[in-house]
Amino acid sequence: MNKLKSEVLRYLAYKNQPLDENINNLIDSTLKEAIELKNRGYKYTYRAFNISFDKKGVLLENSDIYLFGNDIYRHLNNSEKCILIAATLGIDFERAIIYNSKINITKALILDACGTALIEGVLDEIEMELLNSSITKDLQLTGRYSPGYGDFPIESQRDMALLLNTERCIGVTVSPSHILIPRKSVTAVIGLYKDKAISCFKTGCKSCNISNCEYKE
Amino acid sequence: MSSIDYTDWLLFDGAMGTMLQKNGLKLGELPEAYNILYPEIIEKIHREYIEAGSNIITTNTFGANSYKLKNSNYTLKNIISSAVKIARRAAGGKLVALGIGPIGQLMKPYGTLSFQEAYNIFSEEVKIGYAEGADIILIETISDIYEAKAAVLAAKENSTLPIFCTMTLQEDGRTLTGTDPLTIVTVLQGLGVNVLGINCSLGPKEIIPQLNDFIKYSKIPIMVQPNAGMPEIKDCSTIYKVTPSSFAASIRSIAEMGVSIFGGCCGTTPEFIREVKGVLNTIKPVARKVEKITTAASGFKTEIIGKGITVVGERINPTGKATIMEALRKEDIDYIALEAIKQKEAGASIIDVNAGMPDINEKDIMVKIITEIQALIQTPLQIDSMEPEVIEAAVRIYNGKPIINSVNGKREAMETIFPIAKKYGALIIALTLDEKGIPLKAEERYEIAKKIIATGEAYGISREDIIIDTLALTASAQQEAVKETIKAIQLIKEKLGVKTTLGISNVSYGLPNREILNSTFLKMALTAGLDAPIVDPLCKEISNAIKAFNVLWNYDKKAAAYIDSFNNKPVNTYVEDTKDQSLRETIIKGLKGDAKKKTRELLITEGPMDIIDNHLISALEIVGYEYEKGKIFLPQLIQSAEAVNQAFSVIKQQLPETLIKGKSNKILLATVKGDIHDIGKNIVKVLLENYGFQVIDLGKDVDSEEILRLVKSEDIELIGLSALMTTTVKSMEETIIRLKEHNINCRIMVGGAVLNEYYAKGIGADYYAKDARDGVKIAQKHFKLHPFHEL
Repeated sequence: MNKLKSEVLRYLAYKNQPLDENINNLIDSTLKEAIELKNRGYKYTYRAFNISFDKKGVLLENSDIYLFGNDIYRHLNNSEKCILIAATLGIDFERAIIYNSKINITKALILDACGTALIEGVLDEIEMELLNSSITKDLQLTGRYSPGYGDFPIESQRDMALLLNTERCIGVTVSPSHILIPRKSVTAVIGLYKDKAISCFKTGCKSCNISNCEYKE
Repeated sequence: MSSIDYTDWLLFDGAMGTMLQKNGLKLGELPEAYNILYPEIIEKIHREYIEAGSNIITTNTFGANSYKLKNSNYTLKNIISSAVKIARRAAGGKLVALGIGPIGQLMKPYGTLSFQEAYNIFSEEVKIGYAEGADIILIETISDIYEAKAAVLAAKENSTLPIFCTMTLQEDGRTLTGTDPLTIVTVLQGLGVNVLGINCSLGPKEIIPQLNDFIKYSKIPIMVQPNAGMPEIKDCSTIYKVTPSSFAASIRSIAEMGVSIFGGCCGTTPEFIREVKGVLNTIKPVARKVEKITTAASGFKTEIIGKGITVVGERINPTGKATIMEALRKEDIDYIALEAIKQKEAGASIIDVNAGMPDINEKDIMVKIITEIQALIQTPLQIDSMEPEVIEAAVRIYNGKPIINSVNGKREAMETIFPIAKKYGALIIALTLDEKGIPLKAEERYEIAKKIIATGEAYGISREDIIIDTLALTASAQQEAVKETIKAIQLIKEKLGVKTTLGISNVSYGLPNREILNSTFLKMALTAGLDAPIVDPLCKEISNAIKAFNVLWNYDKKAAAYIDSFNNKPVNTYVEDTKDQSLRETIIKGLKGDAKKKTRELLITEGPMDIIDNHLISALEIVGYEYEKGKIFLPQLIQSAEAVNQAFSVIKQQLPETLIKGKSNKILLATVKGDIHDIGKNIVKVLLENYGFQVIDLGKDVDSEEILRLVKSEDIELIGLSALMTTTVKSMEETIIRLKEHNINCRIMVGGAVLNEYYAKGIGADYYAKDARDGVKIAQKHFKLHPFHEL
């Protein structure tokens, strides 16, 4: 089974049950459709900021915006710069989920899980692009950290969207409840640091302290 | 202020944001705050643009709306008033455009902003700018045509100023929300803006290929404000690489295509405007030859009527259809939306929507139906009603250019319907009848059509925006009149040069085997030149007739679609080879298509109640048990649940309605205000329905007042609320408080990823459901029964 499909299954809280042909075919065909939707509609943008640290938090230079919270502070502690990223699968993906919710809920649920797996994949691609770009020359990358993780406030979505001008560049806006819309969109922060010897702050499932999460890798 | 001369070049200014950054604006800082903090900087920038040659400057109000300013220290009034004052001061004799940008939130159904809220936000801006003395309303950088519509209506209804509206396109030729250029032209022109066009996102070179449909179809002046090239990210900044002179050279090419209004967007400066001015001084505006077409559009795509056959689906109409009547009475919008989806899948290019029946609130229901269908499919809609109020409410809320069905030759009808069609830019169906009724002879119907078109033109409606329905009379009552309808089509098309439509099915009323008469009549009418038949696209005879006609009339080139439709059987992704399986096994495997068939087979030998008890319930119990034990996972559970609902839909037709209605217990479901994650709630709905509960689903982002209203009107005992995020659990709590304030006699169960038993009790819920299955158990316990066994 390929990595993408196993990610999709993970988001469907799959626990190695036998997959009958019926559901397996539905997952395969939905994933294929999801990949096509993604390829037609995904967009992303990013920008580097020099950073400084003070009592309030991490200040993004040439702006008046702080990243708040102990966790993001620790995440970027050894970095001299950070990169803000925003990515989306686009509105047609959202439409497909809404449409299927009316005619085939099983498929809508699977499509939703595909979207979650695919947007993470887009972020992985962006990270590869960054590794090969001049922005990260002679620098190491930390993991990705997003608003809502740990004590990094979800309200920071709005600041990140503003700084990256996501509304104009990629069509992503933030709802009054701080939800990124279209829903299959992500913002993330990656730190850039010099010293190779530093082991950086862990991210992803490994760093999370929720023990009974059904999506745990 | 001077008046606007559209026959000459009009030159706007360049970017404000770029200039502000040069003057020290930090990223993330509110650009509009400069109107208060540093008015001298704003005025200086305006003056620089005027010196460079702009004859219109735009106020620094792009993001000045109550949503974006909510957390700032400034009032909307203060920001906009100052901005207009500064611009006025700098303008001298030049024009001042009030700049209005997008609100900053996606609209429903993707986001949580409603059309009315968007309208209100734009209205506030317009009122202040208008009172302060702006000369033009410039609505710019809009991606969502629906948002543009809200802004244009706000501008029209709160000022008398000319309206310019530009939208922003991506390289793929669509806006970020998916609207193509032809649809932009169709919808904005219909709404009566004075100027339309493109700005931002692209450089001048990239804009050129996007302009074709603007040039070809826009009857009004076109405006273009490109960026200084495509943005490139360079480390900590965004840069634009096009130079002022090469920018101006591209503008020259665009001007030669027939665009006459220019300016610059991101990355442009007074130097760009100076270069453009220099170029424009050496050339004269070019006249365009505009092609007139008859169109209807959703927010995403345009149907051109008269190029091939435009099939209009007629099924959403209660007349003679018990299931639609029932759905309208129960406000079952989902059922009606499914009818629209089915017709679209069957090849309808337009969907007619008629909700007219006694004892319902036609206006409210019509608005709900339109809102739902336009969120699901991109097929243009035809608003079909006898009531002008219903028509106006529906065309107002519609996200594209709708068709109004209909006006006729009666003076009163024309006086009420034409102003609505004009204001909202609808295409309008005109019936060839008047005060004296439907004339028998084709020539008389032609005369009525002629009168309607002339009257329409007096209201400012062009003839390409009227399609004539020559009216089918029933062969059983007025046999001699049937061919007059056909003759009238020929006559009207030939002499008036307009497109035609016709409700086909009426012809066979009262006769047996109606499909035969309908499809024959359809072929006659199409041969006579009918453009938009109103038919049932799901009827085999009708769809075959259309397929065949398309080949024989040389529309379907090389019969490609025809051959394809017979060769290409839809690929079934499901395994449905289950001849030897019982209904129970079929359901356990989640084979939805087969579940229906098996149920029908079983109904020959078993009673409906026996099937429920012996097959459906036991299958559900097995699946539910396996899910709880982790032997199957969620998609399998839902797949089975959907299969049960399919089986149940067949059984329902056999059960006396009173039995279903009288005994089932109602549960109201809603995803709370502010939250748009509703898949979990939808799953709960399917499962509850499996167990015979009647679910009233209010959807997502639901206001507590709406919940309260239904709890009272429907006498609800149990509510299920869902919220996915920590931030929206807060809204869930507020909803619960609001409900409890009213002392209503009902219990509340809640569910959602971040909730747990403790948290749920903390926000005042009565029950916590950890998953959909748990929700069913709670409902069963609450109603102290097993609904099916009680039946």
